Amino acid sequence: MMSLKKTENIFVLGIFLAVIGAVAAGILAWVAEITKEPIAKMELAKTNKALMAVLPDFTNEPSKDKFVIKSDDKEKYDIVFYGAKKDGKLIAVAGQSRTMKGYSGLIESMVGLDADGKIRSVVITKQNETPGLGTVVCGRKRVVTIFDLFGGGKKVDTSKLPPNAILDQFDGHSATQKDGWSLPWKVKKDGGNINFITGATISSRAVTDVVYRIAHTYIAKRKEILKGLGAGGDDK
Amino acid sequence: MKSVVYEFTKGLWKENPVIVLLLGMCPTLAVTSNATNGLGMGLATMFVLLGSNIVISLMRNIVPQKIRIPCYIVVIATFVTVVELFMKAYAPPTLYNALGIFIPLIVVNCIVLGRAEAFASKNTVFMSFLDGFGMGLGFTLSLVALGGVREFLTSGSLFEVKIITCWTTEFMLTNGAPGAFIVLGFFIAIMNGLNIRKAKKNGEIYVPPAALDCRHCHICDLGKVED
Repeated sequence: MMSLKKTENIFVLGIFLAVIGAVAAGILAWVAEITKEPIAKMELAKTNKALMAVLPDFTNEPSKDKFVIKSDDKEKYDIVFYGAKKDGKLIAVAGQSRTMKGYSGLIESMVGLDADGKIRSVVITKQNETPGLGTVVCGRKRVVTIFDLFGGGKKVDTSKLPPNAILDQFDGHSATQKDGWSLPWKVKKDGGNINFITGATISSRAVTDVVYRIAHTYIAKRKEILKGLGAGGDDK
Repeated sequence: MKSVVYEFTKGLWKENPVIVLLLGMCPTLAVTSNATNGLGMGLATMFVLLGSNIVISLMRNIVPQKIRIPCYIVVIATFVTVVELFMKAYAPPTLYNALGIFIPLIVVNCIVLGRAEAFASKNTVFMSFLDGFGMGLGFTLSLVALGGVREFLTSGSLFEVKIITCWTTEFMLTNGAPGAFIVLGFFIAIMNGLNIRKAKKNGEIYVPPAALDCRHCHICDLGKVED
């Protein structure tokens, strides 16, 4: 063994490294195998949490009831629509898509829509914006105070989403001419109707962009989407 | 048994990896915007440090001198990937998202490779375990302290629980990278101040521990002929 430590034979060195690498690969393959299921579960739980936040009470599993619309614009990000059904009847859909126009690139959003295309609520599921600026646009964070932990704090309604001035302004709007907002939706700085956060115009723009894309696609391809989600009894 | 205690406790204060050794600055400054992230990062690094120290100490008599660094890196990278997979599967999604790229970057954290080269490759498994545990704990505690101070100065909260409830506007300086440097600077100043005072009381002049000197780490001597 002493000779192994001092060896300079390049073949021995190569074989040694190969053995170490093989052992490491074996261990990693095993760990990847045993964590595969929990990771998939975690991802599903994340999607489900976002779906619960934007959809009304449903009895099916929207994460399994999905329909993908291939995006036709430049960014080529698909929009995934999830259908929420109650007793077999489609009551609302949620659209999920992403944009790369955020200040740090990717912003992924989940938008809940009523069957006629009105936005119920918007959540951001993935973002990497600047803390304090972009996160003001994207974040819905419930502040936990020390009083909440030890009792005595104000009762917080946990069934509602924490408020966010930028994301909440989309509620009740739909991407149609009748709505009053000029199409396509733009932030006020660009001559549109959407409020934005000063200092986080790019994040505001990106959020507006992705939300509009989802809402607009739903209006434009409504029949196709409803059919894809298997909506029974709706205007086929 | 003094040395056993010493090997464990040196990482906590005397050779604290963050505040005295100033190793692993990248994760230190980047993720400690709140105490929770600091704790998560610290625990992940501690696990890697423990694992790599033990395995490298086990292999210390058979690893050829010429290729020891690549071997150490493979061992460390394996542990880091294991940590990453487990965090992805079981850690809260917010924590995993906040730590993001810094989990895979533990591979290049100087503390891990530094302890492997400077300690684990020369000491017994038990000693290496203690060294890794102490260093990891020291790293975790410093990160939690740094994150806690920064979080408190930013929004008056600790571990994402608001302590001062009327503090609604966030103070962004300490939340960003400049604030990280400033707070760390204060930490180092306090640490040095305490050490100098202690030395003065004993009538000595404070010198940083010799083991921290650059000359005691032989990573730079790789190309040179080993004796």
